[in-house]
Amino acid sequence: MIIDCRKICRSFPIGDSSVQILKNVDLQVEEGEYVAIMGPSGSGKSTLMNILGCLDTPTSGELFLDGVNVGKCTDDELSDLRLYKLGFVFQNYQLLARQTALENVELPLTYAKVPRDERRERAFEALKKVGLEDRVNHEPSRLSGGQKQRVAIARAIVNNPKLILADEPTGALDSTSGRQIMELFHSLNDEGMSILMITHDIDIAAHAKRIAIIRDGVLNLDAENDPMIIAKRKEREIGVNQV
Amino acid sequence: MSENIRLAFQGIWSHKLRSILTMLGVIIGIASIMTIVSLIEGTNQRLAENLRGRGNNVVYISLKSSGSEYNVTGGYEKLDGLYPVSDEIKERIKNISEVKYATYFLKYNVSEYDQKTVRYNDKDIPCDLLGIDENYFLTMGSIVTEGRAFQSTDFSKIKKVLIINQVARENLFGKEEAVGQEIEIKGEIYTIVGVCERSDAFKPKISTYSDYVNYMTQDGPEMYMPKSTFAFPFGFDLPETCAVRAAESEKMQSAGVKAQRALQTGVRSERIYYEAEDFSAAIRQQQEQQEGMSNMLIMVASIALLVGGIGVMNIMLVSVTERTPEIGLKKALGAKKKVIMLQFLTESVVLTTLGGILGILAGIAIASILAYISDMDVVFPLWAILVGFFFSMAVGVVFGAMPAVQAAKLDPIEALRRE
Repeated sequence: MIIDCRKICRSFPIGDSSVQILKNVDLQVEEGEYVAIMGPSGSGKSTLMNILGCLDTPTSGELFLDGVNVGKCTDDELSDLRLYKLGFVFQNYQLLARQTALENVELPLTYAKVPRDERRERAFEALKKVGLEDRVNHEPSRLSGGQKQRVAIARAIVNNPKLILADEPTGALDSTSGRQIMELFHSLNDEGMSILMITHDIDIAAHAKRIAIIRDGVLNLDAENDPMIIAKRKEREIGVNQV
Repeated sequence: MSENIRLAFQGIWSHKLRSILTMLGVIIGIASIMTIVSLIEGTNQRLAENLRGRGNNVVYISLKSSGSEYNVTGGYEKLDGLYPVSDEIKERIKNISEVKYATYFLKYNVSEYDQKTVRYNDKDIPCDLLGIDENYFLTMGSIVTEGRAFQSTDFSKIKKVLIINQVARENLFGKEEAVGQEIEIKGEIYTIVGVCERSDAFKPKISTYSDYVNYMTQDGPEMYMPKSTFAFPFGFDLPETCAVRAAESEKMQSAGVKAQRALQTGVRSERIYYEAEDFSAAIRQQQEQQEGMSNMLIMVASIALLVGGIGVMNIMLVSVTERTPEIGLKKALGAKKKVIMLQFLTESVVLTTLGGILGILAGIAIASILAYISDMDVVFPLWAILVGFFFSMAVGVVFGAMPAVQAAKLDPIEALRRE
C-alpha cells in the first residue's frame, strides 16, 4: 500500500477559534492505482494534497507513505520522502524559467546526488517518455502550456517515484493539451505508475480508475456509482471511439 | 557544490547591474585597503632599502661620547684609554659569521672653521678626511671611476696620495681633470690619484624632499689617504672607527652589534664607547609616523566594507523574497534545508568574492597609478592579496548567513502559493 491515511484531521487557527478543513479522512491507495479526488474549491482538496505530499502535517490522525509513518519523520526525512517516493505535478507547472527543459528535469536528481552524466541520461530518458526529446534544450518560455506540463511530468517521474501527486494538472491547459496530458497519465499508469490526481473537473476526474469526492473536508470514497460519473465515463469512451 | 557555483554565476549574470552595484561596496572597501597597504609596503621597503642600503649592507661602528659622534682628532682632548684596534680584535670580527668584510679607518672632520688644514687654490676646504686600509672601498661598495685605486706600495711606502669622492671632485674641479691635481694638507702636498664613487646598486632612491633630507645628506665631500700616511698630519696611534659589511641586509643588525661588542673590549675609556648604527630603530621611527595615518585609512576602508556587506545582505534578502516560489518548488521536490541554505550562501559568497577580486585588481591599478604620478614605490604583498580575497569571502559568509537561513526556513506551501 502506497498511501494509508487514518482519520486525518487538519484545522487552521483563525483568531481564537479554529477552522477544521479535513475531517477524519481515510484513504488507501494501492500500488498501480489511478485515483482522482474530486471536489469543489474550498472543499479541502489542496490541504489533503499538501498532507499527502508531506508538505504539511495533519493536526491529528496518521499517514503512512509506502509504509513509513510520516508523522514521525524529521524535516530531512520528509525531504527524502518527497525526493524518492513522490513526484509532484502542479497546475501552473512550476518550472524554473531560466533553466532548460533538461535542467529542470535534472533538478530532483541533483538533490539525490546522482552523478552528472547519469543525471543527463536519465533526464533525457524521462523527456523522451513524455515525447519531448526534441525540446530538451528549450527554456520554458519557448514551450507551450502542454509541453511545459509534460516537462513537469518528466521531472516528476525522473527519480522513479512510487506515486505521482498531480494537483489540477490540466487546470491551466486547453482541452486538447489537457487530453494529451491525460493520455500520458494513462500510459504511465499502464506501465504500473500509481497516480493520485486532484481536480474539480468531473471530465478530468473521469479519466481515473477510481474516484473519491471530497466535500467540506469529508472524503467520500464511494463515488464510483455516482450516476453523473458513470455518464461521463460513457461519454468519454464514445468520444475516444469516434476519434 | 560546483552546481551551486554555476547557479550563483548564472544568477549574478542575469542581474548584471544589480550585482555590480551590490558588489561596489566590497570593491571599494577591498580596493582602498589594497591601495593603502601597497603604498605603505612600497614606502616601507624603500625606507628599509635606503637606510640599510647606503653602502651595500654596511654598518658603521663609530666612536661616541655621550650620544654624539666623537671626532677622533678634534681639538686638543687627550685620547685617554683609546687605542687603534688590535689585530686580535680584528681577527675576532673577521670570524663573526654575519660579517662579510670589515674595514678600519681614521676619520677627521674638517669643518668650515678649520683653518689651514685642507687647502686647494689657497682656499680652505671643509671635508671629511679619512685614513683607510686596503678593505675600505671593498667594504663600502665604492668603486674607483677615474685614475687608480691605492696600491700596496702606497701603504708600505707611506705615499702622499689621495683619492677623493665624487662630491669633492665636483666641488673642487667641476668638469676639469681631477687626477694629478695637488691638495695641501697641513702644509704638505698630496697628489690626487683617483676618484671614487658609490656603486649604483646602493644609491638611495630620492623622490621626495624628505627622502633627500634623510638620505642625501649622508654624502659630503670626502678625501681618502692610506692609513699609514694619515699619521703624518694627525699623529700616530689614533683610535679607529670600524665599518662592517653584512652578508645579507637582514643580518646587518646582529653583525653590527657583535662587532661593536668585540671593539668595545679594546676600549679603556669611561666616556668614550663604540656604537653600531641601529637600523631597526631608525626604520621604526619612520614607520611609526605612517602607521597612525594608515590605521585611520584602513578603518575608513573597513567601514566601506561593512557597508558593502550590509548591501549584500539587503540584496540577498530581496533575492530570497523574489525567489520564494522557486525555493518552495525546490523544497517540494525534495531539497533539504541545508541545500537551500548552501545555495544562497554560495551566491552571496560568490558575489562578495567576485567583488573582492575586482577590488584587489582595482587596488593594484589605483596604487600603480598613484605611485606613477607621485613617484612613490609600490609593493603588492602576497599576504595582502590573500587577506583581501579571504576577507571578502568572509564578508559573504557573515552577511549571507541571515538571508540563507531565512530562505531555508520558508514554508514550502506558503512559498508555492505565492506567485
